[in-house]
Amino acid sequence: MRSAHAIVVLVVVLGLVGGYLVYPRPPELALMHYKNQQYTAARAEYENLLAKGDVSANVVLPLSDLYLIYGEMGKAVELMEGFVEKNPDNLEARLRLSKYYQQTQRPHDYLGSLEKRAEAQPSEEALRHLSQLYNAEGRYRQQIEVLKRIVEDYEAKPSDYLDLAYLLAAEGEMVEAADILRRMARKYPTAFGPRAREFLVSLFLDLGQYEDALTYLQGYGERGGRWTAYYEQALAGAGRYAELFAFWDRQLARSDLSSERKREISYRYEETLRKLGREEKRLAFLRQQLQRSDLDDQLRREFGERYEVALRDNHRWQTLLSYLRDQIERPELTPEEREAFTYRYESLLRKENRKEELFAFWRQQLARSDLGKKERKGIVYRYEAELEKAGRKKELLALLRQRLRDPGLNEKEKRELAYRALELGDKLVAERIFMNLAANESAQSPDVSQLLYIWGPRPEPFGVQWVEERARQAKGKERLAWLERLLDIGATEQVLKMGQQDLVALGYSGEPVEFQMDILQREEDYPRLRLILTRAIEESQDAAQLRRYIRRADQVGFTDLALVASRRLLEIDPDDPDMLRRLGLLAYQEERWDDAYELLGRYLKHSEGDYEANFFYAELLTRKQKTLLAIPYYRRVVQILEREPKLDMRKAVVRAQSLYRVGEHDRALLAFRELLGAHPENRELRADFATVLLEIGEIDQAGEVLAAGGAI
Amino acid sequence: MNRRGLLFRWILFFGLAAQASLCCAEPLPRTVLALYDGKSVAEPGLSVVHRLAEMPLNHLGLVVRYHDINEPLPPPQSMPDLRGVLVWDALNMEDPLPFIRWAGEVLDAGKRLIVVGGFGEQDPAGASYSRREEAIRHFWEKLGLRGADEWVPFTYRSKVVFRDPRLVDFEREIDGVLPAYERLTVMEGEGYSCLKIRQGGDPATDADLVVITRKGGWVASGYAYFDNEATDTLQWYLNPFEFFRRTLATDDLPKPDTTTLAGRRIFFSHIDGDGWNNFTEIYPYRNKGVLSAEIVKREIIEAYPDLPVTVAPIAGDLDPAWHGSPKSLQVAREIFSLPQVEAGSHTYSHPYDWRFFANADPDKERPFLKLYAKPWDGSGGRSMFVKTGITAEKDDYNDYYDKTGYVTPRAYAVRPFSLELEIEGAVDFINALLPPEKRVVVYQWSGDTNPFPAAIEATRKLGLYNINGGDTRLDRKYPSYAWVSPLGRWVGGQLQIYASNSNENIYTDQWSEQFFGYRHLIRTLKNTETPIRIKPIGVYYHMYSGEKLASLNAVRANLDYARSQPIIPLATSHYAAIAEGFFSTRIEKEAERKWRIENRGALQTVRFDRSVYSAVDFANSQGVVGQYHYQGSLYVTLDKSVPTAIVALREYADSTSEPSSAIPYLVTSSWQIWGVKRGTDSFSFNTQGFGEGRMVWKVPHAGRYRLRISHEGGEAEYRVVDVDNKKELRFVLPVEGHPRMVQVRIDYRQETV
Repeated sequence: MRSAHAIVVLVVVLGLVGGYLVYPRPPELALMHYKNQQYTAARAEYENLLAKGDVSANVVLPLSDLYLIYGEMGKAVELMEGFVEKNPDNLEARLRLSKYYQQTQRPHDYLGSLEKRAEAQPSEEALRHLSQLYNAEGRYRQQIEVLKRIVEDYEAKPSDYLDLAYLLAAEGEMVEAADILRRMARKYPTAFGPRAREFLVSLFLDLGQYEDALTYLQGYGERGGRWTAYYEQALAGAGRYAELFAFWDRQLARSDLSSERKREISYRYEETLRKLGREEKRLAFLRQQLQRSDLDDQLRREFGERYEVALRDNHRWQTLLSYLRDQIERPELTPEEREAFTYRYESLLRKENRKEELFAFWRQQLARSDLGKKERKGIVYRYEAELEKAGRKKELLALLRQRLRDPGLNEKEKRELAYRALELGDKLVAERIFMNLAANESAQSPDVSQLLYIWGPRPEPFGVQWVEERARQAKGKERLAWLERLLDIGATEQVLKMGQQDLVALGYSGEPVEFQMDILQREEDYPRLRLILTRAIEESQDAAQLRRYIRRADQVGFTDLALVASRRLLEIDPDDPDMLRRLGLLAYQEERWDDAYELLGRYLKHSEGDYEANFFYAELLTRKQKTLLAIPYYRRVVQILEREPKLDMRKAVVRAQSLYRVGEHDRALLAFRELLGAHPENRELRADFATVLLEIGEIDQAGEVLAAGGAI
Repeated sequence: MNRRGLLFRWILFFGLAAQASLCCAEPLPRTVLALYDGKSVAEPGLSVVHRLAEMPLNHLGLVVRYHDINEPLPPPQSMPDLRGVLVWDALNMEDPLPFIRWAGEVLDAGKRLIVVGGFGEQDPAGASYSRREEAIRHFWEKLGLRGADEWVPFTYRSKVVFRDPRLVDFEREIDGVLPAYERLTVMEGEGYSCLKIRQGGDPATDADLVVITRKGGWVASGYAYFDNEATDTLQWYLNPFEFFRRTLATDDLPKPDTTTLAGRRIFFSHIDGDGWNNFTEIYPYRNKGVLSAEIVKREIIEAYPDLPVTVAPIAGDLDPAWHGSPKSLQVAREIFSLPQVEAGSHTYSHPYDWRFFANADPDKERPFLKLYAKPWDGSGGRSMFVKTGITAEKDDYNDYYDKTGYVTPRAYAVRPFSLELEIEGAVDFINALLPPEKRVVVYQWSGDTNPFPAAIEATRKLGLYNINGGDTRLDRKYPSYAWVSPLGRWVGGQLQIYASNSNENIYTDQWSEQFFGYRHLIRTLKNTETPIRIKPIGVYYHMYSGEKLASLNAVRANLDYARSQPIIPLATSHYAAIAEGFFSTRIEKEAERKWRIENRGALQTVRFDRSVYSAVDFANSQGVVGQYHYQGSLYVTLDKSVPTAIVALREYADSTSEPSSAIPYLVTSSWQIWGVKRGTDSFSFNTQGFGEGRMVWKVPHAGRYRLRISHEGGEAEYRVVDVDNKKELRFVLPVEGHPRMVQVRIDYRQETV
């Protein structure tokens, strides 16, 4: 029984022990749930283990994964970070953490983890990955360091070298960049393509390592474009000028090279020679270029200009003169080009004070039949100026005469020559030119005027005859104009003679005697005019004619003749209002009161008349004590004057007096006062005003007026 | 071709925007013609402009059209909608003279010209005085630049001496090894240099490498963005938003906006059916034959009833004659019966390489048949469980894989490829599984998401919207707007709309590891929201996310994030329609600060940038529901019931709150709003949406507002809401079982609160 008990107890104990042994313990349970994707239970169990201090990989790794499943990315990362810190040598944990960083989009932490990994266990792959990440992050300095390690420690690719060189150069480390590229060229000669080569050459040139640059430019110098520029720069930098010039010579000899390219080369060629101070070679080079048969116009022009500059730089004046002279003679030049050469040639001669050569050159040029008009003009202008400056008048005149022989001269140019001759005092030449120009021109033309000006107010008979002849040939108004010209030069008799002979031809409509009078009046030959006019008035029976005589007598101040003619006219036409007025006013002036009364009365009988006739007639009536009869005439005076917009003083006084006469005293006084206000110094006015005041009994006022004028 | 024919062809080429321009007044031009080099890139979608520049251009309201520079160039007069021309590294041609002549005509027509890169690197052995060079010099001068006939191949002596931080050093500082460059300088009075570089401290060597000229702009090749293929790094040196804004003078253009509706950021979600039949590994369902699609339905779709989702199965995954089963069909029926689920199609056989099938020839596929399970030639093929179909086994590596990254051109080949089966067949098959009120409305592209024109056309003929492609990311791994895709892709006159965000396949390295990775979508969602909102929230994934706990949690995390944001949840088809509206929208300027917006389709937001001090002038506007100021821009909500909207703006001095208005207007709403009617003491509108309808209206005054809420179907609810001095009327409409239309009428009189 006891044994049975013991067996039972043993079995129970064994069962308990066995049960304990086979019952899954927490880590196993958690793993079981995890594998069975019972994530909630697994997570709780792992967290429990973690809380109890189990930070083994068996807990931490699955738990961090579980956190990710639940989207708790921060917790997953934190857990792994703690684990890696405690287990720095656990590569799997590091990798997992790195991946977490990547998957949870923590690029900086990811990069940090890669850096640590690369530090702990560097590999080409890790470093290359790091390099790319640094590049993406813009951390170029770090990328350089990583690439350096790749290049130094691993089988770097050509792209690693190139990337490193670019980065180094961008950081200003050009020597290191060049070194890396040179290493690349050695290690990967086939991968060292034109771009890498150009880069290396560019670096060498910037570093002043011209010989090194040339090493990498072998076979590239003739490729054109930048390659050639690098090659040239390198040769020049290395001082290998003989090679450089030889290279350029070869280039220039090529028939397939564009003229632009040749231009470039020649520029640099010459510029290099200049910088080197090899002037003889420079000049020779340019001469040689100018002799090339394949030059186009543009290039020839440019070379020519540069040759000139070179000659000037070297003070080779004689050569330059010869060169310029040769250029001027080249038949294919455009006028503008020739002019430019000419200008430079002349300037140089002037500068060298070689005047005689200059004059000779000009003479020679002017003798050329192919000289353009503009060119010719320019030369003449400069030639004359230079002669004038030198005071060589004789040669100047000779030049002028020579120019006159030019058959192609137009009128304007001839005129200019004439003026120029006048300036130089050669009236004869000027006269000849103007006579020539005026030969077919009208009397009023500027050339005729100029000719008459040259001849002066009293020309030689030759001149008078010339004008007379022109007048004779002319007709109508034109002949009259020529007669005017004759009169201008004092040929009155000729004019009178021609006029009397043929008034119709002159187009003159009046009487011959009046033509005579016109001429005499124009010439102010008053004695002869008076004689003829007196006779004409006496003989005239024609009212219209007499009116013309009166007008002419008035014009020249023959008042007596005008009076005679007026009376004569009145005899023919007793009612002629103009004559009645005229003679009436004259009679009043001469105080022939009765004549005046009679004539003005007749005048105003048929006409309203002007204010003067009315006023004087009214005054005559007043004199005759016919004051009542005078009033309408005074009124008319006022009416006529008040129609005028503005009155002068005389009219204003007449108006004031007329107002007074018709009894409008207030208006009269006002008018006087205004007048006196405007003309306080006028004593007559003041006296008239005072008289009026006295007449109306305003004695005090009269006294004041007179006193104000200082009359008392 | 006669001239008339030629013109007609260009008009066709210019698509919707140009067609719209044929009527009525002149619209504001919105088209940028991008010239690409067809000899370097196989199609425009692979060009730099499409990959990098089109997104910023879209953001500025511009539509990009592509043209191969090697083809005859369209005459400028045939492009009435043309705002400018963008040529990006496409001028390295043998004879640039025809282009130069054409560019001269473009500039003479007053259009802008932007050139990135030049006429190619100067041959180190080349001359600089040919006729070609002369013409190039003339071209630059016409653009406002003077050439120095100098190519700087090595830049170690070159240093930046001036940089305008508004235009360069945008995502990355211009530093390190500077790219080689052609030395051009901006002509005096002709433009502005944003980046000046000098060699060896000598001002005579200055080069202007980023330039805005009076006629456009220029960026030297390599100075627009940084590219490191080894690390997949792209980063803008140039600020493309600012550069294009200034070079294309877009300030006068209201921007049709596809990110926002009713003042809130658009949310949409869609699932490609890949992995539908994969058994889940998630405890406690694992080893119980539970499908991944079942898990997604249970754990995601049903758990987020407020967030609409478009589910697009691969018909071949459901069809029992292919790789489907009664269970997969059952799961599909259950999913489609949920009210927030929209039906889509993700093809029949899941093509990976769409171009392979552009000219379908069954014989072309024969070499691959042995790699398929159930191949159409009856050969038996490989006995494998097709999961995603792209994972290659060692034996599978071949030339095709090297070229495309795919083992086979499609996932299934039970029948020879047929476009009809792929599109219409798949749609019909899925339609048969839908409740009566639903139809497939979206076609979700598979594989390389690079469909050929006939495929897109086939979806349009069925009245479907289409989506996918683009793969936008903007997170720490891809920290650049360069990874943000444009709105879509034009191919052969057909428009493909891109998904607005990348899917979990990309975040998990093609479903190979870091299955939690899709969580990183949140970073992209944040970065595409601030500082400028450039994308809606798009949560796009596959059914295989239901396979693993980590991936399922990632989807949940993204949806939780979306829920935490002020969003307006929309169906995927609605977003696609909005994106299409972007391309058709026609804008006319009626007067200073007044625009007419037409042909906008489903797009109901126009955005005005740099408009902190502008506000809608409601009295002079028409069809405007509301306005919302956000991040310096003014988002204007339009009324979809008003086809022609007129937006007038006025000055607004106070930038701290939305402006007061005698006319009530919407500030934000999580449901869409339309049919707004404003009376003397009341206004009413229609509304509809997912989840709770949260809305804020700016009302004329503080006081008591009475709401009458009429549900589609009859019953009305009455509420009173008090409004304080902020004059913001806030209320929440309850969740609807099914998203139904609700009519709301709000009465108000001035009453003391």
